[in-house]
Amino acid sequence: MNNTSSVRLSGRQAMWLVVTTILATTLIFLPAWVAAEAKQDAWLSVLLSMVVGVVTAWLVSTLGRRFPDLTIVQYGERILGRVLGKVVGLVYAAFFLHINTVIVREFGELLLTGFMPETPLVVFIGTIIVVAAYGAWAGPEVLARVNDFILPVILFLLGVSLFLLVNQANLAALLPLAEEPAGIVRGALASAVFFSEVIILAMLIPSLNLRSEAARAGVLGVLVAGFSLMAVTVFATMVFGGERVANLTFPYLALTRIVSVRGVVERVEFLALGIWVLGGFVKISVFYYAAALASSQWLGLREYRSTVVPIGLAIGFLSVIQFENIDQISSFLTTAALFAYLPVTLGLPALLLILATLRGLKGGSGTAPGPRGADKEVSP
Amino acid sequence: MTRFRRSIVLAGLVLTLLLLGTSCWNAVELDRRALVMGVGIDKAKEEGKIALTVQIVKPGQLPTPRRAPGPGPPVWVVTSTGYTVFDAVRNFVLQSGRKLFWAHMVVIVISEEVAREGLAPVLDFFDRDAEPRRLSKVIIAKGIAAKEIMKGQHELETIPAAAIRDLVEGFTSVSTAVSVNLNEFLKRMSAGGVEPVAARIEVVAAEEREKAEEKALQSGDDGGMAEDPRLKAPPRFRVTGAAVFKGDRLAGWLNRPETRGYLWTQGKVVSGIVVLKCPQNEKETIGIELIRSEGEIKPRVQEGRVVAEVKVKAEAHVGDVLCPLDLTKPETLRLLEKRMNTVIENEVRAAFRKAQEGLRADIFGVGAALHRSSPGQWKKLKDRWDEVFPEVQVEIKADAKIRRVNLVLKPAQPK
Repeated sequence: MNNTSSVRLSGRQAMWLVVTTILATTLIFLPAWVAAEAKQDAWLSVLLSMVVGVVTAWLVSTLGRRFPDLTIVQYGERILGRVLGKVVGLVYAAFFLHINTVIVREFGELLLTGFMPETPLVVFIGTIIVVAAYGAWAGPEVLARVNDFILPVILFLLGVSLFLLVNQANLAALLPLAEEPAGIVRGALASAVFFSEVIILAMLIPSLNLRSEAARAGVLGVLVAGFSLMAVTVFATMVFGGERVANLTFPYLALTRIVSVRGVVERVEFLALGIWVLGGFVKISVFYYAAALASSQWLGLREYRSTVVPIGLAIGFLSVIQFENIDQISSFLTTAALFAYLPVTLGLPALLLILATLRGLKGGSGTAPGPRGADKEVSP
Repeated sequence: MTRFRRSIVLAGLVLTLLLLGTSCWNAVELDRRALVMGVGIDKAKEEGKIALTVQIVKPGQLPTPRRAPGPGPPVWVVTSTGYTVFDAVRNFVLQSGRKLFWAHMVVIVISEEVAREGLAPVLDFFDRDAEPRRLSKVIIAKGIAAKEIMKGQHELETIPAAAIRDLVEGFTSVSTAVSVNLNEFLKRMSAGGVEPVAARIEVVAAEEREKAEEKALQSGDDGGMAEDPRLKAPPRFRVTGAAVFKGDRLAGWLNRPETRGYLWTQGKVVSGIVVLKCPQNEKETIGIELIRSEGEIKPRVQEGRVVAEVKVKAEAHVGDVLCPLDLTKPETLRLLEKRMNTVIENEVRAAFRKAQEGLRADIFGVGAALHRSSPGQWKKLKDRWDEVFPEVQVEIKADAKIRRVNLVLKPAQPK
């Protein structure tokens, strides 16, 4: 058996983590934001924006193969030198922290609007941060094991909820196909940010027991999450029609609320709630871990755990104060985030990869245990 | 960390989670809930205000297997007013002492008067709030206040609102009425090239009642009014035909044959009776029971005109025969099928005539079908679809099949 200090994930576990991370909170909002641009072709937009995720996964895993024992914060410094590298490191630490503030806020907003309107937002945010702090503290291996249990549940609940809608789905609502290509592209941009969340691989790769599986994990993770999101979008369009999906705050929640099989099977929004809370926990914990690890590496700390508490306070505080209302979240994620997040998830890794290739840089940190030895020891 | 510190932290965590995990923040116990089963929406007497009338369940008055129902009706009917729907909803608290709980509401009845001015403003609350479901039926009260509908009772169903829902859902066995829930209504309202319809409810024997009221008023004797049995009986309702909307405004009504004509085009005729005339004797009739149908609208643009091809397929049984007809001969059935085709075509034509000439509202979704099949053409037409739709040429092709004659070949005849 492994000793406790060396954390190891299998390729499959990494893939599952990517799936939950992309899928969990995204599926509640996504169809509306995409349909606002692409109407009945929203699912084509989702299909298109998976490309962003696949490219990000490829970039990050290729970098990961060059620097198998380093995170993006560490090899950023290797590639760009100390000063520029520190800037890039700070960007990533800030990015993981910031995206988590948005996710935490979304998490609270849905519970507030959909289920408990009189409860203060701080209660939801505080609770999930305490739980996620424990998850981040425990580290990726524990999260992966929890996720081994959670992801099948999520996919099962998702499948059941969509199956129950078959009697209300109208296939014709998806026609005409590809009516306005420009709209489909705009819709794809609106959902690109979600798929770029596969960037967490850049922080997880050193924890993989087989780094060579990172590419597969990333790409497959994006595809599984992407096709699940596409299914939700397709059903939302078939049940509500392209025009109306765009007007719903939480299309997936609306879907579960409208389930009615012969008047017997009704009120199944607990399915959405289950997915939301289980998946939300994993997603927030993963980003929490990434933020804690990135900031501790940026600061040169030996243990990432020392940043868990301050990061949690920062997430909680920022998630409450930075948005005044729910509209600011959606407008941020569909517009400003394109310029704030995509350069970080897509632009910077591409730049780093180009420079690393040109300068012929590769290798581990030298002090961390090499990956090869561990490979033989743990295999799923 | 020492074990002691660990266990303190752990105990603290567990305690916090236990407290938060119950999510008791806005818990309302069942016996403190006021369950709304149905709502009626009228204009209030005061200018610019809305009057809501709700049926709230009185759980004590409901019969259970162990207990006989309590005295009095099982619902409390109460009216509240406000400047918006939500305003009126909150004002109920002044009378009920508790906030109403909307998650079990099954019908939304709207008076004709409100519907003519537009439903979007009154439906927004039910669409936006997290409690009501979009499965509630949308029903328009013809010639009567929605409040009166809410006050009604039903002999078979204890909760009147549930009875109204059953009336609406019962359309499937006659196919001369429509059943539309809030989701379907809003979907059609916000989509291009299709207009919404809604169920129509009216009072049975309203004239009788009016006459009695008039008489009582003329006599000027209040005691007499209370004694007249025609007034004492609670109003009974029926759901027939359909309310036709243009956008969110009520444009008019479809009668029963027109409604079935509309349902044929949507493939929504589930069952129902088609009455045909006997081949030998035009005065006698045959009842045909529908068992299945399919409908499809295929629009195309031909020489600058939109042509809508309506295809209807129907399957049926012979239900009852009121003339001596020999059903053993295949040509008899073929003859009946031909007559049935004519009936279907007439009904569809009547529906189109009303929608095109009278109401100018594309309830069939000809525009939406054109959008699906030829988006290019639709783009050119969509801005002036209101003018194009009444000019759409309709081609109807009905294909009825009579599959079975049930248990009798030739009707029993006196010798």
